[in-house]
Amino acid sequence: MTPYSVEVLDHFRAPRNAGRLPADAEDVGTGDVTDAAGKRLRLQLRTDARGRVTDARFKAFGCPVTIACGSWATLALIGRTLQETRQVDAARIARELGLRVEQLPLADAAVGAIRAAVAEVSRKRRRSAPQTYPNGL
Amino acid sequence: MSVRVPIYLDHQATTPCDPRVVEAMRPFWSEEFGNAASKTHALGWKAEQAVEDGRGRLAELIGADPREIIFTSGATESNNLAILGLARANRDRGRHVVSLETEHRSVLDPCRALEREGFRVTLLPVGNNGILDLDRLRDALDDETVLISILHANNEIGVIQPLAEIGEIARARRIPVHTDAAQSAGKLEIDVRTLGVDLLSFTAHKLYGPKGIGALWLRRGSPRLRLEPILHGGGHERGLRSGTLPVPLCVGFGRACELAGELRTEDARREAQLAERLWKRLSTELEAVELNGDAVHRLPGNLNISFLGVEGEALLIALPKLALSAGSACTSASREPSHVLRALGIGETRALCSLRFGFGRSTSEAEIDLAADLLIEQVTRLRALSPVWERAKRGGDGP
Repeated sequence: MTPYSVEVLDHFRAPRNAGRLPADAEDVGTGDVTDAAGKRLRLQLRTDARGRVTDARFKAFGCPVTIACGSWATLALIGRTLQETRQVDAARIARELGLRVEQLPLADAAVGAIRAAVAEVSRKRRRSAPQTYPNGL
Repeated sequence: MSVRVPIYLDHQATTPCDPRVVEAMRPFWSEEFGNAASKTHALGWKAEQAVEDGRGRLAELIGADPREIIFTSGATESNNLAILGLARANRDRGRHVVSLETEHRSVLDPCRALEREGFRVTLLPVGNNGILDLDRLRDALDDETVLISILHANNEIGVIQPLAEIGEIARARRIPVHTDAAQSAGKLEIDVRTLGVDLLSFTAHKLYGPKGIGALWLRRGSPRLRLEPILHGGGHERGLRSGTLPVPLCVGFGRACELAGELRTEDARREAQLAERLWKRLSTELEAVELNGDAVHRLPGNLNISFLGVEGEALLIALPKLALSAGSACTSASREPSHVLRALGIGETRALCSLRFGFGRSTSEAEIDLAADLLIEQVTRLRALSPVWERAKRGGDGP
């Protein structure tokens, strides 16, 4: 019996948004996590001026669940504001992809990659935002 | 030429039961159903005769005396009986057992059980090619050593250990040697008189026989081997393995051994050609594929290959038309890299990128060609998704 759900196999066989974005770009955030078993997921997102995710890409080295988590996450992120990406959590990934209990750590890893990507692009945005000073200075 | 899928390339795990073996077993389920231990009627006598005929065929395959063959339920039980049985029976002589890091679990786990009983166990390392360094063996032996257990051919990488040399070292110190020959019996020529060992485990289902039966060859003669049974009961099999013998399986095992004796040379020649055919295509049409284990001292029908940048489990699932293994069964998220590959000094990532291929009597060139096409397609697809591969290609610190 295969340990993989229909949803996992669908994303594994036809991954959405595989690829990379330029990590150095000011509007791109990258999250790259490697778990203890050596599986690796890199998730990248690009935001517009208002902080909405306009594009997301992933690359993954690991079992079908790792690849499916990356693929699904890109779809879940595109269109959300950085604030709204908080709604994408491990429970939701597990539910949407029909993960088994022993596969839950992979959903946690995917959330780790999402949070890291959001944190990085948020930092870049704060850094590049026009500085405003009180008293018209 | 049409190819039936899935293409079975997992002959190390098990082999299909040969139809001639099935036919030989057929009468012994319902018609000739006697108990081989029933001494008082013809049904029992016929069953006993069938078992002894089978035993004779097992003995013939490995150059043994039929009286040296103990039927068991499989190689796992044979390994347990050899290791636990011999160590426990000789604990007054010493409490040290020597084995190998790359052994099958059915050897490693009885060794761990012995540790809990107060034995010392030394697991010897292997070189990068998977072969034992004989000097390490010499250094490991001491006056307390009561058993050396070294597998003949490895189930993951197919590497063959130098049993004759190991036997020579052991004989000089009067230490018995056991070998797990589950993968090699019926595939390599085995003559127990010259192999260099005192006990040998083998099993039917790896050589086109039925599942559920194996055997332990136990050398007769001087110095006498002492063995303590691990199953107690009716005193079958010279008191070493109690339990009613599965007559149809004994017959089937015998027939499978007979066929292996006839077909072994031709099987080995074909399987070596098929392995070469697959390796040639993969290594010329894909970058960064590596053969694991010694290239020469290996089973003819075995390949273990790392496809750098692609996780083995993902590759297996991407290839539903191929029945393959990553070396050890894995269904969980916490797959550990193979202990055998790690013992060869292979890094964790490369170990995770490995698949095992096992060719058999029915494997065809057309199957190999289709398998190669599918592998090349899926390795290429998964590498395009892989950050590990991307990094390796960029010339970073690589996988």
